[in-house]
Amino acid sequence: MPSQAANYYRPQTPEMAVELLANLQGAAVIGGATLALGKLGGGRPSHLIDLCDAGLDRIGWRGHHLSIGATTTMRDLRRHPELSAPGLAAIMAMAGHFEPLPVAAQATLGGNLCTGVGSLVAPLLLYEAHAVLLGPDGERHAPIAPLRLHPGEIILSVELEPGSPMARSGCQSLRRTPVGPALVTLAALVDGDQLRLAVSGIEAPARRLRDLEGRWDRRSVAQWAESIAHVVRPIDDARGSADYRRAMVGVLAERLLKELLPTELREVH
Amino acid sequence: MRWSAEVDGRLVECDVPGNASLAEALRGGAENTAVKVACGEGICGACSCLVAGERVHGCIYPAFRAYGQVIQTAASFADGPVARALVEAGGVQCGFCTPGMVVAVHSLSTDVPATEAGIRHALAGNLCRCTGYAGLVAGAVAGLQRLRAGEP
Repeated sequence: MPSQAANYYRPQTPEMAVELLANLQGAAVIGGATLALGKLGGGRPSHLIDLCDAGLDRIGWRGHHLSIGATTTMRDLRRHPELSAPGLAAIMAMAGHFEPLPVAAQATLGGNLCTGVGSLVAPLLLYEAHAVLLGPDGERHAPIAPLRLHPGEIILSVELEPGSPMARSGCQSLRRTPVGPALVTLAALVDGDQLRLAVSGIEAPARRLRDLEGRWDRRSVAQWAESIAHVVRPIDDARGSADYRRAMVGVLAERLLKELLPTELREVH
Repeated sequence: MRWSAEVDGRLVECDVPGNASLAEALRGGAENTAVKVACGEGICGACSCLVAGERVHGCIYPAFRAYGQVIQTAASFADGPVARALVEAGGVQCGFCTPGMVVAVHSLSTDVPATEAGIRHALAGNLCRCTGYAGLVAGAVAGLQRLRAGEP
């Protein structure tokens, strides 16, 4: 049992959360708490500031951007009508990975981004997503990969550009355990003959593979998969070697591109 | 901090650290050992319990998020058809995962088919290291069917 001196706070607004964070030593902000309380988090925080009542679980439009609140759970992502377009299927695919698990109703978008190896980062990068943060100095926008929070900041939301309604997207990942970080996540979006690609888990930080992106050319799916495996810069850690990750991203790329490409393009090759 | 909840039909009040997990509050504070803790990472499901009817992994669920809620552990279902079916089908070996399995089956909504495939998909968050799953899945299917048939 942790120390009896620890406290739990449930602020009603993001501003209250930021104020608490500034005044409590050893406090941690939690969305789903799956990392802060689990062994994966690497040490229990002294105090918990729970954002579950701070109103950060909304999905809606902010101008041309689709805004997803930081405490939106994987289950709510999966079920929200705004995310049902084929162009956003990559996000749905990753959120759906957690579907049969109880953690789906607890794990949040913000928590996934904070891990640094979250499997949602790659699909979000396809849509030029950025994080909206709130801290002692006010609100600011920041890249999601790498996501660098200043001291005392919390994530309010992630904003993205959904793009063309005709686009198709998808995502594939490989992980050792159902809820552990993915070794490799590859996301792709096909809009006409234009292709976007992003990886997370395999590299630190996650990134778009912009060198490869652009017009779908006459190369075969297998050749494209080989090119993707060639350009990634895999990390080497206890979960998998760099060579293994490189091989696996090629496998996932072939599966994903076969799934996404229009039949006429697939049959050419 | 003072923690309170209705656990298995009984009002429980105890002192629990503010950063405790629900499993820690139930086992350490409420002395409810029907909740088992194995992985401590939200993977194995041994600590499954229901908070206001929703299945959670107690080891990664903040205790104070469940403050004042109705909580059901395996103790609520110990004499029910699911527990009996698991025993009859040879779905219990060391027994450590069994409480979580029983809670998980009781949490399943009506859109989960009471079939082997349905159970294997729905119980993906509950791991067993002993049985090899055959007896466990058979028991869970039979238990779910009996539960839906209204067997007490």
